[in-house]
Formats: sequence, structure tokens, C-alpha cells
Amino acid sequence: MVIYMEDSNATISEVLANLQSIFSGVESLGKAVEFGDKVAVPIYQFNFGTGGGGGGGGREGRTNDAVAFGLGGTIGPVAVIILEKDVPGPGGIHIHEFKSNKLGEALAELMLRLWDMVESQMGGRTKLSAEKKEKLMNI
Amino acid sequence: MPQKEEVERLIKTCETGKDSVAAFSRSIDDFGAVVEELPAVARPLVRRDLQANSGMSADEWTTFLERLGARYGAIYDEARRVAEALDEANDGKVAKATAALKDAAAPLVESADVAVEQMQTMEAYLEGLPAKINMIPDAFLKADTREGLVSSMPGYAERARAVKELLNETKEVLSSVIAG
Repeated sequence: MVIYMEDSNATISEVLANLQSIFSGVESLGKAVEFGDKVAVPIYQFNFGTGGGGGGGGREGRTNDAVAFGLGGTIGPVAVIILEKDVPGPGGIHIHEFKSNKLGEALAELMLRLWDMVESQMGGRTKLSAEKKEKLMNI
Repeated sequence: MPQKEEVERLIKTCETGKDSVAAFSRSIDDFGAVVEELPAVARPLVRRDLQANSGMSADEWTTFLERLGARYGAIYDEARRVAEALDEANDGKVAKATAALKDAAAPLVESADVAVEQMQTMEAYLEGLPAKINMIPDAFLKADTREGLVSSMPGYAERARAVKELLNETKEVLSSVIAG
């Protein structure tokens, strides 16, 4: 289980761009901010809610009905990932969490997606054909 | 007609094979138990890493090893019958027992090369696993958890190698017993 991060601005930009594109829904990555030799990427949690209601009144011949619908939401940062440009490898990745309750699940999901992305770029998978697997399962 | 020495060698190989497969299967179970205790962040990554690098999930490895152990058991039983028939010098019984041995061994003979290749892959993966675990950032795996995971692995790669070597030996002995 290794997270490979090359020590180059180009690779970090590419990784961030890909992360931005794959993230949507409840947890999402914010815009990366560079400061000196570091890049900070905030992770946000989105909470959406909707509500609706209606009512009627008035008198015969002059009714007065109304319907209302509302959408509300909150966005809050749960963590920030710090990437150090000058530190190659996993040692250059730091995570600072603001809340601990939701972060574990969010990071697990994030890392699985990141993992897929890195593996597809590096060709790290060991493919086992369906035919070979069937042979093994029926040995 | 098979030679008695070859049949005895096959019986011994199957005995060792059953033990080796059981030992490696326990290693997979132990590893799975340690992974279950990992933090939520690291757990799916370790599972995914095993599957991505060995070609099979832990559950699939368990299924494969259970079947391989059972296959060794079936070959062992039939080889014993061949040995008994040879002791009785009953040609008809020997022929019948040898045919039954051939049937019992057929799935292993057919899949032995794939199984050897798979065990080789697993051996290489397990050899490199402690180093990989030590490269995980502290943010994902705390030092004490890391040590626990790494210390649970001694002998895993050696057990995988033992199964691989036995598969090669079994294939060789089987071909001479069945051909004889």
C-alpha cells in the first residue's frame, strides 16, 4: 500500500486536477492554495436540505392560496491536505483534520479514488484473467 | 502400472501439501484479522492493495486455498488406494485405483501452472509488503498500528513459496505415477 507522489509541480497539478474532477457529492476537494513550498487542499463537507409548504385562506370568491419551496445548505471544511513540493514520496503528504467524526470515511473514499488514479497511471495492477481465476477456484 | 516408490512419494508430497496449504491459509486468515483492526482510512486501502497486486481478494485466496487443500486430500486418498492395490499385486484393482487417482488429480494437473504462477505473484507481493507498509504516511497509519501489521507477517512469503514448490513437485510426481 503505497501512495506515489512525484516531486514536481506538474505532477501535483495533474493529481489535483484529477482529484477535482472525480470528486462530487457529500465530500469534495476545495481549490488548492500554494504557499511557498507547500500546496494546501481543503476537504469540504456539503449538507443540503429542502423544505416546502402551502396554505389557503380568504373568503368565497376571493380565495388566497400560496405555496413555498426552500433549499438550504451548509458547507464546512473537515480537513486540509498539505503536499510538500520538496519532499518526494509519501512523507510529503500531511493531513490536518478539523473534525474527526466524518473524516475517516471521507478519506477512505478519497484515497481509494486516488489509488485507482495513480495505479492507472503507473500500471501497478496485477491482472488475473477470468479464465485463470476460474481455474484457481475450481482446482 | 505405477511404481510403488513413486506412489509413496506422491503420498508424502500430498501430506506435506495439505500441511503447507493449511499453514498458508492460516497466514491469510491472520492477515485478514489484523486488517480488520486497522483504522477505517487504512482498511480499504490494504484490501485493495492485496487484490490489485496479487490478482485476488483475501476471500478469493481463502476459497482457492480451501479447494487446493481439499484437492490434495482427494489425491492423497486415491494414492493410498493405489498403494494398497500394488501391495495386493492385483492388476485389475491397481488399474481401477490408478484411473480414480487420475480423475481426482485432473483439476490440479490442469490448473497447476496457473496456481504456481499465482503463488509466485503472491510470494513476491508478500516479500515487498513490509517495506510498502513502512512507506505509508503517518497520517494514514499510526506507528503502533504499523508495527503491529508488519510484525504479523514473518513467514508469510516463505509459506507461499513452500506451496508453490510443492505444486511443482506434485505436478512432476503425478505425471510419473499416472504415466507409469
